[in-house]
Order: sequence, then structure tokens, then C-alpha cells
Amino acid sequence: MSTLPAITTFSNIVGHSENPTNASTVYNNDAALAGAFGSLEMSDSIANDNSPMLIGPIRVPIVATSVVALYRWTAPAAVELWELHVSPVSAVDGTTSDSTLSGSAYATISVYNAATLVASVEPQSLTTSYTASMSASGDRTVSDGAVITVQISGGVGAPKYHANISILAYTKHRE
Amino acid sequence: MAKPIIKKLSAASFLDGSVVYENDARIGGEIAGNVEISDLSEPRSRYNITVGPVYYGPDSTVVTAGTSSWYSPTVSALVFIAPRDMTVLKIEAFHYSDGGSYDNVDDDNKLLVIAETAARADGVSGAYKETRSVTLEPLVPVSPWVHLGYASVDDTESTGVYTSSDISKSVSEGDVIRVVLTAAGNTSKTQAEVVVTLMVAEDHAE
Repeated sequence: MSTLPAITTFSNIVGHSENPTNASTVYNNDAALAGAFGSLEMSDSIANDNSPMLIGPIRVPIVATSVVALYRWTAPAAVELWELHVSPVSAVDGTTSDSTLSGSAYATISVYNAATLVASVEPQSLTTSYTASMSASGDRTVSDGAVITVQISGGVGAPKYHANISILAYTKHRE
Repeated sequence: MAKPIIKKLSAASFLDGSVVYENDARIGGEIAGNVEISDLSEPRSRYNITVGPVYYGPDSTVVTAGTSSWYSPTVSALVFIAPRDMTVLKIEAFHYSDGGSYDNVDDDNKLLVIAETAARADGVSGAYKETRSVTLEPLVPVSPWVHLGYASVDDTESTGVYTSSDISKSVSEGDVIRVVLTAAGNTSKTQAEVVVTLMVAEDHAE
């Protein structure tokens, strides 16, 4: 963390015995402020020190309800997971006729921070996009270097479709 | 960014209000829109570039699947020109397995995911596909390409295989970066769906 400049207080009563308002005190304060330039830190001195980062999109066939990992990646810096987006597409084997997705045939698509479940969606319609907010989750913060997994974690029946999956996250600026 | 240059006021100086104002104005002026990102600590960003899942396997324009002589060809999953100086930090490969019949990855049919770079003049036109001799060691780069690093997928699990490799090598602005998929192993008839992730770091905007 950068050290904030130490500012000496002084009185506006000229000749005050304890904190005389003399020129050198004023100068020293200004010099301390000027000296802070060049040593400001992104994480401590700058507001809004993070950037949005879109992970994916990936497009994967959803053909099971058993546990299957769809995607793994390593956090490039400290990351806050923000939203999970899943848009089903009626395309299997190059056609649209073989897709199955309904209230009785769907998969649960989940995001795991290491081994901790953060959010899930259960798409049940080919014409709806699904979003799960992770902004209020206590597990949304991912450490630098931790592995995130998107996976099927269960479901009902025998769904069969393609899922376009992306994750909105915020990453810290960093060296 | 230069630090604000302020006028000296010594202890014996008369407290000149105009000088005090000028010094404060210089400091304030630096704050108001002149603090440069590059002069802050932590001026760099890290992010991931994701490609896939992409299918890797026989290309009918190069080989014929089902014959005994074919080998999976060398192709690029990602080609781009570095927008500014950057450091490639890590390459990650996730073998997505949906149990399809085309899936063929094991110790004899490895999938190597290789990050390479080349100067732009040499790199773009031939970056996407390479008719590499099957006898050529896949980890020997073909000129003008220079290896940055690679990840090897050589196992199968129903839940998918994730491998990664730290790289930490610099690439200059304007150079070409590509991620090559190539087969290795005794048989080298690799077929797989893979998601490739490249982790890079670069300075914030100039």
C-alpha cells in the first residue's frame, strides 16, 4: 500500500507558539502531496480499480444430466464472479429437429469456485436466455490462480441441445 | 507522469500567498486529469482469451479418417496480432468430453496445445494450417514460429481433462500469436473437443 502524505496541521494565527504558520510548513505539506505522485497504487488510491471480463462464450452440447465438466479456467487475477449467462440453442448434430428441452427434460448448469457452488441455472426453454446473478454470493470472490469450473450438476429427463455459456466477472488491475 | 514541480518556501521566507496558491494549483492540476495509468503501481491487466470448444481431428482435405495412414493434422485454433506489448502467462486446455464416438485421446493419441509467436511479416498467411511431417517431433517449432509453451492432453475422464502450463514470455506489439493443435504419441490419431484459454498480461491503455 502506498503511504499517504503526512500533512502537518498549523494555525492561522501568525506566530502561534506550537504550530506556527510559517512558509516552510506550507512548503513541506505541498512537497509531501507532490511527492505522492508516482507512488499512487491502483488498488489503494484509485476508485473503480477493476475491469469487467467476459469469460467464454463457449458453446457445448448438453446431452446428459450426470455430472460433466463443460469448462475449466484459471483466474488470471483476483476475480469477482458477477453473472452466469446461458442461452440454449436448438442445434444438435447440425440440425434443429433433434433438440429436446422442456420442463421435464433439462440440465442444471452450475459454476463452481474451486469446490464451492456459486450459482446455477436450469434452462427449460429453447427460446429463453437464463441468467443467474452471483453478485450477492459470499463465494463470488475468486483468488488469483484458483480454478473455476462450469459443469452440469444434475437435471431431469434427457435434455439435448447446445448451450452458449458465458460468465461476466470483474478482475482487479494488477502487476 | 512527472511529479508537480513546486516552488520552494524556506523557513525564513515570507509566506507569499501567491506562491502557496501556485503550488496548490500545480498539485491540483495534476490530480485533475493528468494522473497517468502507467505511473501508478499495478499498471497492468491480466485477462483470459477463450476459444472453443473446437473439434480437433481428421481434416478431409488433408487426411482420410478410417484409413491406416492418416494422422491428425496440425491446425491453429487461434491466431491474432498482439495489439500492444504483452506477456503470455499461461496456456490452458480443457478436453471437453461428451462421450461422442469421435473422442480419441490417450497416451498414444495425445493432443498438444502449443502457443507460438512469429514476426508479422512471416506469420499471418501460413498461420492457420501446417502440413507437418508425422516424423517431425511436434514440439520442434517450424520456422518462423517460436514456441512460447504448451499444454498436453493425454488422458480421458468422463468429467473432462484440464491441463495448464505456465509460460510467462513477452510478445511485442504487432507480432502474431497463434495456438496450434497437433497430435503426438505412438499412434497420433487424436480426435477431441478442446477449449483453449490463453492468459495474458498487458499495460493499461497508453
